[in-house]
Amino acid sequence: MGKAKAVATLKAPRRGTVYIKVEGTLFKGGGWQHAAYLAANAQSFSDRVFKLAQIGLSMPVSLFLGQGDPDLANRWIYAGLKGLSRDRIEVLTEEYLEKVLKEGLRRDAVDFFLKLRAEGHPMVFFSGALDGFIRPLLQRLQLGEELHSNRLEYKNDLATGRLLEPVMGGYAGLQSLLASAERSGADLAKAYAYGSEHGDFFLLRAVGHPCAVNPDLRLLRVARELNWPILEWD
Amino acid sequence: MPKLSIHRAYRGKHILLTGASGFLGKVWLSLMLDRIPEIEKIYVLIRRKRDTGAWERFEEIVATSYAFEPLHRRHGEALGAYLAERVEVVEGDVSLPDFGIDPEAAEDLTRKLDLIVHCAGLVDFEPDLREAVETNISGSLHAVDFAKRCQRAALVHVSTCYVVGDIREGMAPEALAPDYAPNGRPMDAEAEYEELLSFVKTASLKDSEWVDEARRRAAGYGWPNGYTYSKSLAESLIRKRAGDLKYSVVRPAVVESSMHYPFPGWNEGAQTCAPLSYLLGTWLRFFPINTRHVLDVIPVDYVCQAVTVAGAALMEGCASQVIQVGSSQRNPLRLDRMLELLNLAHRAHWRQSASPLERIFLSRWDSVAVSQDSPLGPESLRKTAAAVFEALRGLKERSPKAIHEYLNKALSSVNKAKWALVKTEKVVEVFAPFIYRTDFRFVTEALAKYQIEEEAFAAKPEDIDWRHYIMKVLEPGLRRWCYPVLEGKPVEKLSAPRGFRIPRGDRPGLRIAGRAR
Repeated sequence: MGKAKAVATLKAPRRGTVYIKVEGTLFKGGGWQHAAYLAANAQSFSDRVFKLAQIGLSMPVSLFLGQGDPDLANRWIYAGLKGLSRDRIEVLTEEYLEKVLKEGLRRDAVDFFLKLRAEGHPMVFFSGALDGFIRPLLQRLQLGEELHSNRLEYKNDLATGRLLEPVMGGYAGLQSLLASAERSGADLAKAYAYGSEHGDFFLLRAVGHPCAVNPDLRLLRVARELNWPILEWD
Repeated sequence: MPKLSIHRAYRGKHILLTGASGFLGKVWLSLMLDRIPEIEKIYVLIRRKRDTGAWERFEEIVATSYAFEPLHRRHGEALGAYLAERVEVVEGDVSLPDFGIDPEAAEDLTRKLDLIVHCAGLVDFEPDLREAVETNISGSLHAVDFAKRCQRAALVHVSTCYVVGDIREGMAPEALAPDYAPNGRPMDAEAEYEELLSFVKTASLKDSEWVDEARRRAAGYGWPNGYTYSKSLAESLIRKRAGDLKYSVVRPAVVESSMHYPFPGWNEGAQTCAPLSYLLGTWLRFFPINTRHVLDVIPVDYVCQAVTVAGAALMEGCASQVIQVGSSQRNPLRLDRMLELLNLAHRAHWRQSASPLERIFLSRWDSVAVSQDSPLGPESLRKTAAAVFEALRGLKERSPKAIHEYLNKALSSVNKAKWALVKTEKVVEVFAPFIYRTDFRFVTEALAKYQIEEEAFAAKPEDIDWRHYIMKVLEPGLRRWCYPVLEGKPVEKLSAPRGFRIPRGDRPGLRIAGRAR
């Protein structure tokens, strides 16, 4: 586990499915940074300003209207991408992916999950970021294919600003993930989950072996209260 | 659906190619030599240039053009001997009757030829009327006459989709109408040609006036420029004069960088997308294009495949009179997408630049589409620059000498910007019919009706991935081969292996078969 500072003892998972929140765990930052990168590189300068402003507003929107559920903020962020072309989004996403691989990766986390994968653990990744960003990231890291993330809706190859259902990143998305797990007969009591934000709480509390990785303040508080293992990866 | 085997159709055949020194001609010749070894002989018509004979010119073309790179790669030092067996250089000039070929050699050719591929043509959008008549019209008629003299030769005439002129709506059909004029004004192609010949002989105009005259005549009938006017007139005359001649007119749209052959990205000259793409990579930010229109771009090797199919179909007796080669029907590329992809391609390039100005700012300086009369367009900016220039000049006259040095610097910068904008305005004006005024879309059914046995010759524009093509193939190709032309810099040439020579003299095969009269 390299330089990880285990606040609580972490036992290597045995047999159970491993659920991993991608952003915050495998790399620093979240989906909103990716969205902001896209917005900051829109074709026209005025678009850049408006889109960035909209994405910037997602935090107060989430605080005041979201009632702790990041779902609304997530939808708000991606609404800011309305009008961007599929070409631009995909090309810029490739750029951003390179940036993350170069500067933002938590290498220790990647090594840890690669080891679990090599040991044959079923792994399910989930993310509130865009599929077009996260899926190639996982492929490049050779971490796995099962991913639940967000997909933008396009009309005439222009982003409508809407996300296709089920929208991940909020409670509803995690509920849908858990429902899918139950349908496939997964034993959540034996499952492990690694999350980084308070928004992941819904999933963490549903599995037998939750773990907070580089948690935000709210998740840190909850993890401490519930005596969950807490990992700090550089 | 007619079945065609390209290899079977060309086996043992004798083919004459004109325009072998042009972009399309070179790629086609190289492709045929590389992919269809069954051809008995390709005769390459080349014009003498001052002291350089046709043979030397051909040797230089093969030695220095990247179009022939696959042949160098495949044959190495043996390429000269291979060409000596497969190619015969014929000295001639398309602007002359019988191509100006020595009568004895011409007679010999009329007995041997199975196919004439007439690629020669002036591709300048704003040509001098004299040259347009001489090369595009008279040259094509000489091809028809020579083909008719031959015992069995058929003719592939390479034209352009844009002969359709300023269409208002719908898709341009694959049809060859005699006496065609886009705006419906009565046209007698023969009379027009006679009048042109007489005008060219007798009129005394300045060089720029010959260009204006071509443009004026074209506009009178509804063509966007002298190029399309001359190509269309040639088509009408071919239709009238062909008689029993078996012929096909191949009309490519905007011929651009190769997709596969000779290698991805090969391009030459700076006629079509190059000036537009180049401008989009500069500080010019507001570009007048109609984002809803389509730009029908087609890679040069797709056009070569179509020319090959047209020739095969003629020789196999299942020809189409007109074959249009483009992408607008099956895989349309709208100008807004083209602009977006070119912006992204330039971004990718500038992000690698060593200059912080280019890396940080120019890479993020995307061009946006504006209307032609936008106050942010090149015309308005040029007027503003001119006004600033005049104001500075006035200020200099009234100001003390102490600040003249600074004012001179400012005047020089503004003047430079003004002239850059004049050039930009000119490019925009030349391309306005294609990127702003008219939504050119072309029917491309004729080619699709053939069932080609060899997959490598079945060009499918519907398979083009535009993002890959524009960002990874077209723009890098333009940057390597065409932008230097626009910047007046030397263009990279192929360096053939040392000592590359095509054996001549008593060897069978390559020789100067004719001399220009």
